[in-house]
Amino acid sequence: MFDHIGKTFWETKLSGLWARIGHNTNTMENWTDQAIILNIRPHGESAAVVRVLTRARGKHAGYVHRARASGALRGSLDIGNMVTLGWASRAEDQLGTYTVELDQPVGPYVFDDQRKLLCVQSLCALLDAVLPEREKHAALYEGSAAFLAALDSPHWMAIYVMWEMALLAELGFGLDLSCCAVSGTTEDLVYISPKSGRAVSRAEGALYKDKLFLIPDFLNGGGDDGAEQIGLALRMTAHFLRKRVFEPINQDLPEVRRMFEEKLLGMAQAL
Amino acid sequence: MLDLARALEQTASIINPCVKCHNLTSEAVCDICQNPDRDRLSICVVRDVSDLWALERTRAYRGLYHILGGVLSAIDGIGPDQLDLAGLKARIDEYGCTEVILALGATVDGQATSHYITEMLKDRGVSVSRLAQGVPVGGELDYMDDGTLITALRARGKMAGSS
Repeated sequence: MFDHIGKTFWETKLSGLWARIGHNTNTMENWTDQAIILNIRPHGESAAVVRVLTRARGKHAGYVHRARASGALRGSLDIGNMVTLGWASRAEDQLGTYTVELDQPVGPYVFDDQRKLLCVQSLCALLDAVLPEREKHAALYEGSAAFLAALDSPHWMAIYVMWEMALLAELGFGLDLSCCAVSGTTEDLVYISPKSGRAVSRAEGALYKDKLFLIPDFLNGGGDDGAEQIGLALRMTAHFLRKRVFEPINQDLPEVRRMFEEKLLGMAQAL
Repeated sequence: MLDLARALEQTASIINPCVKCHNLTSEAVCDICQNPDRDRLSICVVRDVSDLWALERTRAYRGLYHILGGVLSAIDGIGPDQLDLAGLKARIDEYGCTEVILALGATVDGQATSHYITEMLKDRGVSVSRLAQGVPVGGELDYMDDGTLITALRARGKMAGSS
């Protein structure tokens, strides 16, 4: 009787009906997780759309009501802050709304130091730019939280460099400093190849040393993490981030990452 | 309704940013910039017009203002070129200012902007200060967020009369 209408029509109608029934009976989606705030975009009079890196769910976005009207929320919502988030939504794929509770603020540890401010901005900008939404990166969350907790440490810049190396590794472009890419030796490794991202020994790299990166002392078993060595390391990680992560997506490194590197190189030259 | 529409149209046609400080005004230069009683040796840098009005409400500041139009934001792509920093430098030179007060938000982006401006004005011989951060007047400590408390503790000051 309904052959002229065709099977597809009924399939569409029925699936729509099921979807509506499912929609009406669906319970709210919700979860609670720890997160680092990456970006806050004002919306309307007082709300904001907030992007975060969560421990269990990767990069995620949600809507915060009264984000700029409530004094307590204003103090909690700043990039780099570690918070406990509650997310609720009618459906899993919707934006949903966040409730935010501050765990660890970053501001008091960085407001007086331009390098730390640039560094926190750089970390948030890199995470925001390179991570896809809702893809779990638990190790990256732990590493980022560890770095933010170490901002008071005298070695915070070296820890940041290691965080960038961990970011490269998490994205599948890890550097290999374990043995020489040419000879396989584990002795006297002093260079990194800008092409392969692998270590090169002093003997094998002697002819090409102008084209190779020097392995910073603190990544090579030494204890020197002064401005000059950090500058070397940042130039190296910037190269690999640019070539392997940003160029394939037709983007450049975030401006703030360049500013952070310039600031440290300027300091190193002033010494 | 038509009266309201006409009033809005009229307002929109006569209100424009002050050519000097970017405050809203119906003339080329706003009342604050024109006022001869204002201290021209001091410029207070704010993010937007609402911040200027907030400070004006206090009647505690008698200098000039400069509205940046935002703060540096790595993620939103707001760089130094998007802010009126050239205008700030020009006004400091024009008035021979001796003090610049940075009244920008106590956020990572706000403070990064403050540091940027401080560095930019390094060779101009002006004193650069910023607003204090910490416990608000009338604030009870147990209602305060951790960030405010830590900042207040780190920036604690000596009591007058203490040794």
